[in-house]
Amino acid sequence: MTLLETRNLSGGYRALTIFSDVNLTIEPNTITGILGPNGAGKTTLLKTLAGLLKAQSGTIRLDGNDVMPLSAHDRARHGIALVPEGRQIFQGLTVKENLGIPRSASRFSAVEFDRRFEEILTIFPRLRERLGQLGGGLSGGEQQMLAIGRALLLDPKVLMLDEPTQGLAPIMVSQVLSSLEALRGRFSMLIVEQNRDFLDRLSNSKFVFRGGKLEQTT
Amino acid sequence: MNPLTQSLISGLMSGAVYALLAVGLVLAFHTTRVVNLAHGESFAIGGLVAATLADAGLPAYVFAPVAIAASVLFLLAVERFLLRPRRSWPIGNLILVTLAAAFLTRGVLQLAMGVDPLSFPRMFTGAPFRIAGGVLPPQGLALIVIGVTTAVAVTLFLLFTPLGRKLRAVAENPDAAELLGVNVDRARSLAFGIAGALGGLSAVLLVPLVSVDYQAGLGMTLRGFIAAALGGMAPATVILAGLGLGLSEALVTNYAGALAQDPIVFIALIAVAVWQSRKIAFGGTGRA
Amino acid sequence: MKIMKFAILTLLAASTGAAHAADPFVVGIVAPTTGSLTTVGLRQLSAVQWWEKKVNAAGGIVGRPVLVVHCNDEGSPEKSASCVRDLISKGSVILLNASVTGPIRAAMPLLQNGPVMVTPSPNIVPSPASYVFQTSPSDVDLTKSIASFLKQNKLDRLAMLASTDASGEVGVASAAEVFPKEGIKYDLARIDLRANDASIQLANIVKPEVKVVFSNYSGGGAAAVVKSYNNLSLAQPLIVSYANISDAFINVIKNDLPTRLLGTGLKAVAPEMLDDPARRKHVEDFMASYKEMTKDNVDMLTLLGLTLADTADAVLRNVKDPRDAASVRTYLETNPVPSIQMLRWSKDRHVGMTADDVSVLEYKKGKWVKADPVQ
Repeated sequence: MTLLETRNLSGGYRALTIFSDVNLTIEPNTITGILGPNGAGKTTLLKTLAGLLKAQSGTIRLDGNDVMPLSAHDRARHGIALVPEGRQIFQGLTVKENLGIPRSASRFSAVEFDRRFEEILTIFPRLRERLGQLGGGLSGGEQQMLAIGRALLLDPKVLMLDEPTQGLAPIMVSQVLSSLEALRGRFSMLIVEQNRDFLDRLSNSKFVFRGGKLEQTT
Repeated sequence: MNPLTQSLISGLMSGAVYALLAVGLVLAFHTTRVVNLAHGESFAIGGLVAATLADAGLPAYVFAPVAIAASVLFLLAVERFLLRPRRSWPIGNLILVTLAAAFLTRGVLQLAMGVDPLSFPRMFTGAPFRIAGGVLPPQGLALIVIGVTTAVAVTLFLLFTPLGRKLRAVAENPDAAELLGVNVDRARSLAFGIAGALGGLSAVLLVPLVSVDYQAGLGMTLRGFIAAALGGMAPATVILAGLGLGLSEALVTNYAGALAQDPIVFIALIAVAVWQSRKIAFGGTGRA
Repeated sequence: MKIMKFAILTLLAASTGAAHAADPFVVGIVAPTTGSLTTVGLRQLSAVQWWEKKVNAAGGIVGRPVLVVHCNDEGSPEKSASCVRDLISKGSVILLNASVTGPIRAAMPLLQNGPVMVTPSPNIVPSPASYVFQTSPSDVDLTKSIASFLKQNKLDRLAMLASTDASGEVGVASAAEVFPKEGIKYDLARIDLRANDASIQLANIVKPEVKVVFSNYSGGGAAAVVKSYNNLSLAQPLIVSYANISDAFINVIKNDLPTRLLGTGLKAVAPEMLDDPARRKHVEDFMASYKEMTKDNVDMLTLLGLTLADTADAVLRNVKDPRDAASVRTYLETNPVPSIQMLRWSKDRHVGMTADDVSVLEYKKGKWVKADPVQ
């Protein structure tokens, strides 16, 4: 059964339409990549799927259920997680506090949450070393790990990542890549990137955004 | 009587009120980035409701909770009906919206409650405490103890509880918090509700020692704001700033006279503002 | 239909005719009805409006109705000046000013050529060359009444609290003028208008040898002084200022009344102290009629409002052309105006009452009466 499906989805800001008629199907436990230049509408699409922006028309279904009426925090509770562009970690909260924010919204039970919390620190050992530090004091790569780790604690059905390699040193890019590869098959991912090699390594299927329309590519 | 001891007692009493007001302002500021200029109206509403109910013969265990509830409802309404629908507006405009709310409330209170100052009987009565030549009425002691304890409790709640962390997360980045399943609207309601309770509580504790009228709100907002600004809008430090402000005002009054009070407080405020803007200019972590 | 048409025509004719025959006398009043001095302004305004209704119900003055036009100065000097300009442009034949020291002073320079402005503020001592008349005793007179009260009680020490605004400055100057001459030593402390605690000031000035404390602080904030007095459990009688002899003030301090609450007030506040039966009757009639009309009690602020109304009334009845400011001034300088007490101005003095018109009163069983001696 299809996990996430959009039909004729259009979105943008107020009167301005950024993308239109997007028909996207994401199967369980797959990785989908979306390429496209700056301003093509990739970020707008992810924000619309996550519920931060209201869709202008069309439908979004998760496990066959309409999620359009749900607010962003409710979609997060139902398993749609977004690691936003620029990481958006809470700079004034410690690493541990950042990771604790999704606790009550998580689909994990309390016991399971604590177990997964440990697992995140195993996947990203750098975070364990920095647990007591403020988020604002982390390097770009560490912030990306924290942002991904935080979203994983929601127990997502689909994890959306907006430009996860942006601004990272090559060594950090490969670290992020290997950790995402390690997570392959546990849930679906939808990754928006300008780095084609990164997507080639990860994705089962790829799309490209051209003029506000989504096209399948190889 | 010993004027110095009396200054310290008096300073702690006003300091406790400044701390309560400042913590309320900081809570609202931290979840919406808006300096809520209608904050002091929660004091005026709480005080006037308590005085009116007390005048109607109701006992303190009825009028005090009802007054605090009225203050809570007021700030919940400010958040729900004035700020939430205008979330996309620039912060400066939202601050003006709260100022408008303050003036509107003042007008409504004038029509509903009249213009004369009101007060109500103390809840803590009995012989005053005499300490080293100073006199502290039981209501004053309650004001200091309950005021400071509550301000500290709210700060601890913000710093060390999961809910408090969520409020801080919402303050810093509402979209990111929303993506992690935090209901930002509910968090803001909670913050404004607590702020309202603090405003109402300070009225219930302070008004029996002074008086309250329909226009008490903005003055209270100003006092809370000075303490909040001196404390850098951080919940833990504003309590100290509030107490420090109260004590220094009292000591200035004692040693230099009431005429010197305003100039000294405002010079201190300007000095802190200059110091903080320097910190920002030289790459500190503080946000303007 | 015919009847209707006739009725309408008759009404129209009557109303236009009346407008020609009886242009109203415009009486302008400046009174703060918002801001921290609201009580001061509203209570005086209300007395003047009582007079307006009363006079018009009786057919006006020499057949002309009275129109009272109010301007709210919010207790601010800038607004006060623009109020006065506005009221003059609306054709006021006489101006009443129910505001306080700062705003009244700001308006005075605008009256070089009239019209006459009447105010009850004891802090205003108008130059006899001006068009300003004051219906109270001066602040010096009020201070003198305290001095004579102390001397009657064989006391030579006083603790005094004064606010930090213009009214406080006047009080401080009067004290310096009166008390040393009378051999009275006094300790002075100042209190900020926004302060909600006066215990530091009181701790500084109320020493064991001080038997009486005087708070020269008007407006609602003065409650803080009384409350602090109670917080410190001070037992000395407390004298409050002239402007606080009001129900509103008593209401706010009713849970914290000092052992003995005294105040400097006009004798008319306790009508039994008035020697002249005509004055006593005037005050008692006003108290009854005002209560019937407004369901509110008369206090000293209302009585001060009545001094404004009585002065306007005397001018409109007795001056041939009240638009001529010079003849209004001459009239007031040469004729006493009967009000709650006699207002007596002269070419050398534009202050209507003296220290003899004032007494130290005491609040007992819900009423202001002549003060008992201090033990």
